[in-house]
Amino acid sequence: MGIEIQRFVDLVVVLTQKELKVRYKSSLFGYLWSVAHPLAFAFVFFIAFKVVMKIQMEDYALFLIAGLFPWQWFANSLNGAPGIFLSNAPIIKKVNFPRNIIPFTAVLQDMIHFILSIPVIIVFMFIYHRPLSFAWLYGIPLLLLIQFSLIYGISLVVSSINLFFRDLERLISIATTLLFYFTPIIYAENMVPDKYKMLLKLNPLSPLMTSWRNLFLHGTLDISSLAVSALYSCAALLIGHAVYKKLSWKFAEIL
Amino acid sequence: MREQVIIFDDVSKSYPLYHHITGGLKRFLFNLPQAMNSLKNSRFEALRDISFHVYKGESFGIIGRNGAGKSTALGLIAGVLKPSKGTVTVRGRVSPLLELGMGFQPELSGRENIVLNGVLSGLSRKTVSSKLGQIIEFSELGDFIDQPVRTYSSGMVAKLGFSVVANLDPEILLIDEVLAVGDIEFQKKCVNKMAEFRGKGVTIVFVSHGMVQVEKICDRILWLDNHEANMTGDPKEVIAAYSSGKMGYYPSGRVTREQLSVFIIRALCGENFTFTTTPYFSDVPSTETFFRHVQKMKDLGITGASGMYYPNDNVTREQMAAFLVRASQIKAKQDPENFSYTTTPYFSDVLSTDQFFRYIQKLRDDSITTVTGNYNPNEVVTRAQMATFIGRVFYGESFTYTKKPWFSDVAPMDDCFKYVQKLRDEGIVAGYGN
Repeated sequence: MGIEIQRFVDLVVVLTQKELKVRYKSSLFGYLWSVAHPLAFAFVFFIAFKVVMKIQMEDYALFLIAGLFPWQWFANSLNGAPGIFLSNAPIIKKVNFPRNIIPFTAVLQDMIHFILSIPVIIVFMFIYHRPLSFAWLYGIPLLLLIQFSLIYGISLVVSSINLFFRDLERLISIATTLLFYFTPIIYAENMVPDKYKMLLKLNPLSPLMTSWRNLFLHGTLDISSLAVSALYSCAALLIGHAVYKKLSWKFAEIL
Repeated sequence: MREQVIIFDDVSKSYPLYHHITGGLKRFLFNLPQAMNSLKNSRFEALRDISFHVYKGESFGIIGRNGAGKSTALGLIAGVLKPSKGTVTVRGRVSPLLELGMGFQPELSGRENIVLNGVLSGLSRKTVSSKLGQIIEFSELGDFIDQPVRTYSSGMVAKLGFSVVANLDPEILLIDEVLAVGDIEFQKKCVNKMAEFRGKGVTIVFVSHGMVQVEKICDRILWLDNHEANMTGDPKEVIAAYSSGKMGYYPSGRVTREQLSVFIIRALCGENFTFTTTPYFSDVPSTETFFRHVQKMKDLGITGASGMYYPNDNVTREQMAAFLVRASQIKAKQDPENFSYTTTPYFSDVLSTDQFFRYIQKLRDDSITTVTGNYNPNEVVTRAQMATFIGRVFYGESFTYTKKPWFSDVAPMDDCFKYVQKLRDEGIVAGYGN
């Protein structure tokens, strides 16, 4: 058992290093790029909604950043998911190892980027004279775990199925865009008209993203949204694992 | 007895033809009925009913034409593919599949790829780093080791590949067509390394088109032909058979009990049949290539043997009479032992007290044998006679068959020609290389 865990850890470490290296090998400012993307987004939305459309909200820039950073993690992982197994075809065809380690490390790596971008949020907290909260100490790990499970589950499904239907990638990018606007990231959930509020609950991302934002801005964690998020994560993990189990032994055939 | 570390037990592997769906979800959904249909029905069979085993410390070669199923066999051993039928047992840590370009990530440097492959194949990071120097030195890549693998020539990739698997303490080494590239010096080094492994009890499975190397390196060879196991055995013999190209039937060759069993069962049941999987005979274990045919013989009551089957013993004419009469009874859906026959002896050397009297009489009744005077019951059956007898039992005297000779050693003027041709048409005999 100990050996199995050691092997798993070794694999994850080496593969994560590999992923990080492959992605940033030829771009020196890899880290800066990963922060620049959500920052640029925040800037665009700030101009559009605050400057042009004069939205009534205090500290809108901070509000945007607190939601866009965790969203960026989700979007990066999801958009990367279809190609994960494809780009690792050489090792999948040659070596027998648990293939789910690949999406696992990919999501892990995106999570590491997100964690590294939290200091940027802190900078903005200072700019807007907001206090940091002790709730972050337990809230951040908790939300990290929930979001990691959710994305890992979805990644397993998407990356496995994409091997069989290679155009799933396009569907995913459309879905990501839709999901972005249906999730309260550039607007607050209480701005949604009452008759559509029910629909928000159907979106697995919305309780999670609002939890992140509330944690960052106010240091609060709402138990009920936390519970709903956790439930969605468990479902994603279960489905992801089932799909993976069913398809994984065919990977080497189809690649 | 030597330990078997790789066992293929009646393994078949077929793939669905995935191109119907990798064309995309959109196309799949818009042509759903056709797509489902083709997914179900169009399969590509890469290996059919393969049984063999490799002993610990043995160097085992697999040869065959392109597309014969060699790489699929290696994939099954490596555990990246699963058999569609049968079981593959592998005992020991298998090296990554060593073929051109192996499991390398083009963007990573040679050094990083060494670590990646080492950990993937089951070693700890610590072990891999301790061997890093040794691997780099063996690879002769020098400063290139820190360059991305995409900048390597194919010879350099092969060098790196062999260095990785050869220096990671493999228990089972899989090598697919790698020594063809790389310079002569390095090829020599590889061959030496493999010789060193043989001394250390490392099992090597080697797939190659380079017959000289195969013969030099391997203890035994499996020849895959058209997705089936054609021949297993001594490298010299198998390679000689393989290289000669045109197949021979060996009409004057002796028939063994196992061969006869295979032919009878193929004629009766084709290739797809059910059989008892618990071995009946201690000398025909389930790893034997023709295990299922022998089992079926017993299932159907064509053989009454128990305990031992003596698969390699020759078949005499009286024994064959018994086998064929029973088979013919089963073909007619009759009890194999319950038939009527002429009680006046046809032959001077087969008396009514003889153990096989009834079968030989029956054979003559049915005109399966046409000889008169002496039957020579104790004479060993030749392959030509066997073809004639089986042909008559199953297809009678008039049937259509391919006129162009299948085998180099059975010509149209030969008595057995039409039967041999027919048996080949029906897929009952495969023949051997000359």
